[in-house]
Amino acid sequence: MYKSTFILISILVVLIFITRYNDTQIQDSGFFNGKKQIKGIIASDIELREKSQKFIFISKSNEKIIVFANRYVNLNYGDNIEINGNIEKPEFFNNFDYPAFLSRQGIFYVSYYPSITLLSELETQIVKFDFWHLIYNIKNNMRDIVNKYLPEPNASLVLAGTLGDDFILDNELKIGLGKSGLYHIVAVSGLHIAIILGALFLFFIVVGLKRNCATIVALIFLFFYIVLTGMPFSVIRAGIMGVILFLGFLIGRPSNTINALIISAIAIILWQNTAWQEISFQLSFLAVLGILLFFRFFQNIFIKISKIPKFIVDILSITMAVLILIWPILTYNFGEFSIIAPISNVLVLPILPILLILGLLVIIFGFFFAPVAIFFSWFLWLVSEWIIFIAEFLGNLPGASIKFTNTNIWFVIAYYVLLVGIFSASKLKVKKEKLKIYD
Amino acid sequence: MIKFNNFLKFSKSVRLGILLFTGIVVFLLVIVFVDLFNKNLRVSFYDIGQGDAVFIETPENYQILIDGGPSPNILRKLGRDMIFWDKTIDLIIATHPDSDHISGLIDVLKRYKVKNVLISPIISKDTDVFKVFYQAIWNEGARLYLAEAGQSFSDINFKVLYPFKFTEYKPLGDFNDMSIVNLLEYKGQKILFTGDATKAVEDILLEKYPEIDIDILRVGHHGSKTSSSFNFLKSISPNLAIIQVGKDNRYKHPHISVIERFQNFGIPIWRTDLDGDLKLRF
Repeated sequence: MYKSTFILISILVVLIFITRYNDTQIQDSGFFNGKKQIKGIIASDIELREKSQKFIFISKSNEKIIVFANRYVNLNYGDNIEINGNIEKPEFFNNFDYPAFLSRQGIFYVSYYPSITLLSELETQIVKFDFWHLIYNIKNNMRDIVNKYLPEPNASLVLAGTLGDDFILDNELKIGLGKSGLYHIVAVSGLHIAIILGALFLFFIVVGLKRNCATIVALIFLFFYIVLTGMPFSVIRAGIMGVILFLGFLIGRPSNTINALIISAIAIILWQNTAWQEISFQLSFLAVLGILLFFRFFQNIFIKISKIPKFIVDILSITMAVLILIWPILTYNFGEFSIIAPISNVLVLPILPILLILGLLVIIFGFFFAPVAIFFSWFLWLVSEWIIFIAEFLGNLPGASIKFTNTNIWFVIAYYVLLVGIFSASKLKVKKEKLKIYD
Repeated sequence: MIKFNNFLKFSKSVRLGILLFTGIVVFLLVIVFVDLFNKNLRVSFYDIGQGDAVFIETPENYQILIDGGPSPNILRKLGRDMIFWDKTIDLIIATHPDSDHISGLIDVLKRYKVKNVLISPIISKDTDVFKVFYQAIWNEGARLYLAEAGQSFSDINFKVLYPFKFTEYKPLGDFNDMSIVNLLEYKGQKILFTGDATKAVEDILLEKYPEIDIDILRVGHHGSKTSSSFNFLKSISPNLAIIQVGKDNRYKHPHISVIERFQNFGIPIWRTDLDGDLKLRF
């Protein structure tokens, strides 16, 4: 192991240790509880779910409340509303620490299905130019376009894949994606960013821009895209790693990818102290770590045992490398993990770029020129149909996923310690063998 | 022949790409043509939880949706049954303004181009859902009809049996009893859709249409004991009863006495909560 990597890991561990109890320092005011009538505004994008719509409500006294409202009320970001109903403390569900999750965002209350009154225009404050208002408006227009050209469940799959709106998926598809190990395609990640950056770059080159120019324009568009997706940790991580690797490339000292990964983790924790407690953060980092550590290992095995084409070997090895690191986290948090994932990923990942690019083309042309959008939407339908078929067919096979109940946290920790042990032992062995050769 | 030679000049991957693209286009065209030349009457009874939704496609592709269930699940059902580029529906019928019938219709109105809407003459119910539903019809710009016995729609024999003109009958007070009742007749098969109508409406129907004889009955009010009276069943004598009901619903529908009543008449029952979607073709 490099000295620098060791130092960075130490910093990371210390940081995690320091920030461990940070979240308990933010105290809630204890102001609400019970039946209340509160005025305030809708301060987030409206998540239109299967049975409800969810948004963050900020009261006039600046308390944040998560509201699950009746799905069939017309609400928008920035609306001035009055909620009338029970304000409760969040509770655990399915083993998931919802109170802690919310408290990290400074939210201590939820309200389920309060009655909502839209306050009249007169009471609405005159809002200055609001950046998020613009973003959410664009996002809603994008959703409308996809919904216009595609039937369900294809439309929600495309929206979840391109914009990360996984809340709009219906239960059937959600379960299918989970059990077939394909849920990652509806969570915007480094993979999505890489595909879209590549496509943008290629597009601007074809249009006739010079290399440098194309890179810059593509990055600007990519930044806009990242803002639209709501900046999940995986995307920020990919961004920081990309910048570090790119800078290393510029100054002629290509840096170690693992170091870049750890630096991005440190940066995110410095920015949001309790980020490492989020499942999305853990999954994102462990997945990349898995690819960096075990991809070659699995690739060698698969090449040795069979003569399957290279790209299938690559996808299989990536899936295995990711799975070997994230399955304890998945079982600990969700109680099950998919063992059919390598097969479903081989069948779906090769056409994920087509789904994303066609999806963005339909959205872009939907704004300007409908006939082209309709033409692309037919192919988009076919591609999304394939993914839905694979997810629901493989996901519903008996034995597609293994259920674990009550996974012990110590088991998870023991697994990682064991994995680190085996991994470093094998590295040492390799080094010794190399030394022997030099002798 | 010249063209084929040119084709062979391309590199292997380009050739493969062209073949794949042609294959996809042919596949899409086949799907489109199969749909265009489908000359059946198709009636689908959806399993969408505690609520009703029936989708009818006539041989001339006139599409009718009777109620939309309680949730956006109806969109997936329609998406699966309609060809992928078809985003228009000719007629939607909201039998009465309860949320388990009109909620899904709001999503349908937002997603699809709906040409006509048929609603029960009781047009106001003071709920959020109903207001949003009415607003959705307004935004859609669909032609709005108030149901009245004798109206008929589409290229096949599909008509409204109930409610009657207010001048002929005093309207019943309950929302359920203002449910639109439809009769579909095709190739000698008669299907009756009764919404949530109760015994009171059934008695009126028997009085007004004494010779009514049904083949398939979409059982009223999810199999509640307030509907499907003994006299009604005896008189219309269906060969198949379809109960649209949600699994483990809090109303405990369908009622055991109703199921027994059907069994005593020897009428087979299809329950959407146990048997799933029912798709009929004629």
